[in-house]
Formats: sequence, C-alpha cells, structure tokens
Amino acid sequence: MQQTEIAVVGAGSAGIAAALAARRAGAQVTLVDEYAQAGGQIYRRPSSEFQVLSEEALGRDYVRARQLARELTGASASLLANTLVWGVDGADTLLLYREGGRADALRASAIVVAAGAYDRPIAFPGWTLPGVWTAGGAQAMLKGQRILAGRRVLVAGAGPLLLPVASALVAAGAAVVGIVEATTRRAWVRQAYRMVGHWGRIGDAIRYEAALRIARVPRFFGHTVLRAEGRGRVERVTIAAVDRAWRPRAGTERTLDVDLLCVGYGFLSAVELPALLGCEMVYLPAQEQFVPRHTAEMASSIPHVFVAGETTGVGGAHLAWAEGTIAGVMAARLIGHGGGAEDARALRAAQRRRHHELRFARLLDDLFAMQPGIYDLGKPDTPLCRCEEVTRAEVEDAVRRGAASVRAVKGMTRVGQGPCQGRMCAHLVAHVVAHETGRPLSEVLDVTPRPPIKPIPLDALAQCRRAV
Amino acid sequence: MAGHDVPVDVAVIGGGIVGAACSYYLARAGLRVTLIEREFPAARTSGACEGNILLWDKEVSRELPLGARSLALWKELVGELELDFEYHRKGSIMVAEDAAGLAALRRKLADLAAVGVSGTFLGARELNTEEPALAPDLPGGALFPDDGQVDPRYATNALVEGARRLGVHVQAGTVVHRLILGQGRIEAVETSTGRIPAKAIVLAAGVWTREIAAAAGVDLPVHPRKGQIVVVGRGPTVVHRKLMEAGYVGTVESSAATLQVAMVAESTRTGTLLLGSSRELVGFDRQVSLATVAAIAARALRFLPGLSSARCIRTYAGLRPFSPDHLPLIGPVTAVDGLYVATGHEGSGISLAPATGRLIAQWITGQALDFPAAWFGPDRFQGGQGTHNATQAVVHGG
Repeated sequence: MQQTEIAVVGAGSAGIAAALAARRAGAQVTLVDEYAQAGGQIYRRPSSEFQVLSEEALGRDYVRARQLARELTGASASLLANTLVWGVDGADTLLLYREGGRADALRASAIVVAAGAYDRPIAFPGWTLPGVWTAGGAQAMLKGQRILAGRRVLVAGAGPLLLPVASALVAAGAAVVGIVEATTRRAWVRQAYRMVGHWGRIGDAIRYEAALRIARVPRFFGHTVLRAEGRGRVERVTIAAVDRAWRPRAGTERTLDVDLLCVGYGFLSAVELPALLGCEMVYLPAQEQFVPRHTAEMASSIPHVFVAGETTGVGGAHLAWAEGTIAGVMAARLIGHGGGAEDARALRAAQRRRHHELRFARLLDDLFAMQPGIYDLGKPDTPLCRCEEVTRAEVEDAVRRGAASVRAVKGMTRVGQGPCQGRMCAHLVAHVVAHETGRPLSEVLDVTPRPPIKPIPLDALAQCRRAV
Repeated sequence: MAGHDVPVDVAVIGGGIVGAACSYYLARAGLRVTLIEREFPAARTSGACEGNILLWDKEVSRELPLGARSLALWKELVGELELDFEYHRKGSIMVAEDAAGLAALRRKLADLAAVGVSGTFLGARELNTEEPALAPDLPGGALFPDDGQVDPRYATNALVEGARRLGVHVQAGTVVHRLILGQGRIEAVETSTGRIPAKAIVLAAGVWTREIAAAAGVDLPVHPRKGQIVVVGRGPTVVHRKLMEAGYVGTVESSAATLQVAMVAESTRTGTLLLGSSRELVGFDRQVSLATVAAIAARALRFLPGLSSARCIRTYAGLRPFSPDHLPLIGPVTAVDGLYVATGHEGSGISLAPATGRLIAQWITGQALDFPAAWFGPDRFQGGQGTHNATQAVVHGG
C-alpha cells in the first residue's frame, strides 16, 4: 500500500498540469499512468527504446512533451508508469495493477481524475476488418512506435483530429487518398467568427491545410464512409455525400482503394473511475454522453475527488491543461497547501484560460455534433458488440421483445459483457434502442461501470487479500 | 389502459426467474395474468447469478423433491419455449479439498442415492481425468451427471416471452406502490402506471417482497443475502462440468452474517468463466467489495491454479432472498385472501423456478398440489396464524 497526498490518475495534458500545480503548492503528488511514459495522447513520445535523432522532425508536440517530462522530474512528482487503476477501495484508495503482475494500492487525501477520452466507435459494414483503425489509434501507433498502419490511407470522420492525423501520415510517407469530413465547408465558414481569439488554433489549422495541400490530398467535405470491404483485410472503402443529417445522398457513392482506413468521429470521455468513486454524473446532450458533474473549481460531487480534462467532457488539450491546473491548485488547497498570492494568481489565470477554451470547445461541439445518419450505416449483420459479436439485427430483435435500454438489451444478448465491458458498443446499442423506442438517449444509456475498469489477472485480484 | 376495470385473475409482482415461471405456468393453466416488473426481466438477482440446475446441494427432505420436479420441468421447457436459454445437461462435480471434505462427499452420495439421485465417486486420478484443470493434489470428488445449467437471464426472458405468447400482459418499467385490500382480501395493485385490479396476487419480488408485504400488514421473513461473482474472460483453461467445493453446502446452510466463500466455477457457452461464491448479510448493499472478490479469486486459484494469469473482466453482486429455514416460501398467505408468495429461494431460484411456478398455479387454480402445503407454506413462520392486522391495510377501492 502506498500513501500520497494527491493522487493524479492519468498523465496526459490535464494530469501533468494538475501534478505540476499541486507540486508548486507544496503537496506530495503521485501521478499514475497506464503507459510507460507520461504524456497521454497529445504528448505521446516514441517508446524509450528509440533514440531520437531530430526533435524538430517529430514536431512541436514532441518538443513540448520532452519539456513537460523534464518539468515533472524537476518538480519531484512521483510517476507510477505502466500502472492501471482498476478499481477503488472505499473513496480514498485506488487499486493498482502494476505491469509484471503486482497488485498494489494507493491511498490519497485527494484524488484528481484526469483519465482522458477514447475514440468514439462508429459502426458500418466492414468496420471490424483488419486495416480499419480509429484515427487516434493510428496516430498513437505512429507517435509511440513509429509504425505506419498502412501505406494507402483514407482518413474519414468529423472533427479537428482528422487534419493532424492526415498530416502525420503524409509526413511519415503514407499516400493519403482522401480526407472525408462529414461537415461542410459552409458550416465551417458559418462558425468561423467564433474562431476569433483562438489564434493558435487557426495557426495550427493553416499549417495542416498547407501540408495537405502540398501533398495534394483530396478533401471530401459533406461526405462519410459507407462501408469498408476486402478479403481478410480492408481493400477498398466506399464513401458518399451526405445531407445535413449525415444520411447518404443517392448516386454519390465513390469507391477508393486503400489498405488503411482511419476513422475519427470524435471522442468519448473515460468516466469509469469517477463513477466507481461515487461521483454523480451529468448528461451532456451536445456530446451525447454522461460525464462527472463538476464545479468551476473542478470539484466533483465527492469532496476530495477532482476531475479535469477530457474525463469531464471532450474539449481538447488546452482546456485540459487549464482544468488540470485548477484541479491541482484546489486539491492542494483542500489538504492545506498553497493559498498564497502566487497560488491565487495561477488559479485566476487558469480559470481565465478555461473560460476561453470552453468557448472553443463549444464551437467544436456545435460544428462537429454527431448527426443521426451516422448511426444508421450498419446493416442487420453489422456487429455492434465486437467482443461478443452481437449484430445490429440481434439488438433490434431484443428491442422488439421489449428491451428499452442498454442494460435490458444486455440481458437478452451479450452486448457489453466482453473484455471491453461496453466501451465500444454501449453508445452504439443505445442509439439503436433510442431510435427504435423513441426514448431519449440519456434514459437508454443506463450502463453502470463495475470493477475492474480494464481486465486484470486473477492472481492480481487474489493478491488484494494481503495487500489491502 | 384498456381492460383495467376488469380484474385480471392474477397479478404477478416481480420479473425475475420465479415471477416469470409463475406467470408462465399460470397462463398455461388458463388464467388471465399480468406480470408487473419494476425494470426489465432479470434486471436484478436473476441477472446477477449463475445458472445452476443442481440436485446435490438441495436440502434432502423438502428442497430436493422440489428440485427434482423442477429439473424435469426445465427439460420440458427446452422444447416448450421458443427462445433458447442455453440449457446444458453438463453435470456437476462436488470437489473435496481434504479428508473431511471427502467424508462429507461420501455421505452426500449415500444420502442422495437413498432418494434416487445418482452420483459417482471420483478418486484423485479420476477427478483429474474428468477435469484436468483442477489442482492435482485434490483427493477426490463426486460427479452428478444429471445436473444442468442455463443462462439465467436468457431463461428468464424465455419464460417471459413464453408467458407473453400465452396471453400474459407484461408490464416492465412499472413500480408497485402498494397492494390494495378490501375486507381482508386482495382487490388490486397500485402501480406507477395506474391501478391494476386483480383477484389474486403473487409476490415474487425476491428481496423486495418483504417491503411490499409489510405495507399490507403481512410479515414475510425474507432477507437479502449478498453474493458476488468474478467473471473470467475467454482463455485456455477449460472447465467442463459445473464445479463446486464440498464446503459449499455449509455456506448455504450457515446463518452467519460474516463473509462465507466457497469455490464455484461455471463455464458459459461463450467460453467465459463465472467464479463464485460468496454469502454475507449486509442488507441491500450491491456494491462489489474488494475483500470478497479477492477471496473468491484466491479460492478459485486454489482449485484451478491454471487461472492465475487468466483475466478478470468484470465483477458484480446480487442479493439472494433467504428465509429463516433456508427453504422457499411458496403458497398462500392465509390472513389475506388471494395473496400468494413465491420467493426465498436463496441461491436456488434458477433451479427451483419451474416447480415453484407450477405449484403456485396449482394453489391458485385449486388443483392437487405437487407437494404438501406445509412444506413451503409462508404461514409456517407465523405459527399457522396471520400476524397481519387486516384492518390497517384496508383501502376501500374506487
């Protein structure tokens, strides 16, 4: 059993910010992350087995990632890497699984949950073929392992991640045959006025657009992927123009040959840990998901549990950084640290930044909101639950037999009972149920997380008889 | 809602396995039935348990005959019900860990043989041949080949669907507010969707039965006994039979409030493994507790050491309804005309549901009973009298 003053779960943008802020206030901090290095997704660095010959070639995020790693070390924040937080024991003890098979526990006076988000799964015919990746997954593989998941790539989805992913693939030598964006240029132009003040973002976008233009990557606005096909792996993808509800327009289909399809339709917050800690959840209609309810000080409904970053709702790395800073300062204050003038200044600055970034996050919510057509791409035989291979037809059949929520469908099929425990399928099943029953999504999406958050060996579970 | 002025013959409260079975057999007997379920079928206890259809763990004098009847009915239901519920006559093995366990096992074999339940003694080598995944140092076991398994949620849903096809009106998402009595007899059920007039009511609400009955002035001693399950994902370890350690029966019969853990392992059709078992009296708490799941994992590893690197993918908890003598309550509450109870099966609900449903149908239709009334009568805890103060519960209808 380890003890610390502030446990920060997740060493991405928000977690690093929280850890640094709490250290500045004088609190003892232990940062926990599943991966081998801190950084999360944005600041993911190549595995330590690589030797970096040119920092510039890896881009600004890499440079920043190195800088943050140095700051964390310099601040003496303790980092438990390769460590999964799989559950809780009471509201103050995190249950850990350390790589190598060891169970452990971390007791803390305050907890900051900065567990991030994951790619939103969207089902369409062929989505389970080898060679169909999420955009985030392809980016992680490139950043962390310097592996190109394919040579001839289509990037499809909706949202700001498509540009950096496509650019990175181009820079790594892939032929990107198209970027398929569900929203329209007109919609972007309509919202353009809201970009005022977010100059950094505009600069980023211009850089990506320029790189993609130089590489002559075709852009398909107002289009989505319809299906992926191939024998044993993806060989071609069919796309089509869509209307405002993202429903395919007849006669606009086009098929492209690829060996990699990267799909990015936004993200879903990782909310299992706050739920296990007992945090109340609140539904965000714009993002169609439940997130932990929190104040402007990033306090959850549980007094010593703070939440920050994508865990609280998808909003990007800059918002995450601001929220992490706030959470770190407030967690430290809760246990008697900080409170001086410097601390107050940092808090105010972070709150201003948060306010600024929330406006941008809302712009993204409005511009890239999922439209109903995207949940209708699956055919009856398209699997919705990948782990247990439950098809759309089986889910619809369960609804016909009276199932009116995800949990009820789970009782009639096996959705959500596999290793991913519904991370992939709960939202997909919920949309089918909502569509078939007319019930609001927030009522249909009734899954409650249970431990372990991710699978752990039985031996590690048995070890908890002695550890705790 | 249409037809709400005309009383149904029976309103069954509770959409778990027992309520579903009652509805089905009542409809089979030709009665008009409404099944009232708070969430959806098998949302709670029946969806948080294993799918045992066992004989050897039953109390010999009363529960075993009920179990034998129920096993036979399950086999019939495979052909009668449209929806598949993965019935598998896989057999079970009672596994001994030491000499005391072996002795208990031999006694159990003899007791069961005396009432016609066949079992085979397995020495250490035979045990290992039957079930190679078991630890090689175990001294022996007893194989009961007639035991079976179902998926409990599928089975509940299959019975509900079967009931529906026989004309049962299934009202899911409906909360019971209270029972309406008039002049000492059942008149209706007040629910979140309105009043349902009924000539008879079957309380099959598991651990929530007591609360509903108490509001009507009837004391039914049914209490929650928490159990937890550890689910192991697909992997190379194969378990062929239902496995339970010899000490399991001791934990069922114990009335201790403290944590009782006994190894139970059940493989499912998709290759996952459900590990139990635990019993504790902690009220209505359904939170997964670390101490319990860790104990379940440790106990499982003692018997199935090859599971040490198998992945636990989920844990969950459920509440078994139990009664003071660990036998179910099935039958009428004599103090209130038209009120019946079917609950208290404490870990044998899946096994005993069909025979329970059939017995309830016999009670309500006045047919000959499969079993003596006194065996499972709810009044046995009242000393034959109702402790119910009828006047307090009277609500004059309208």
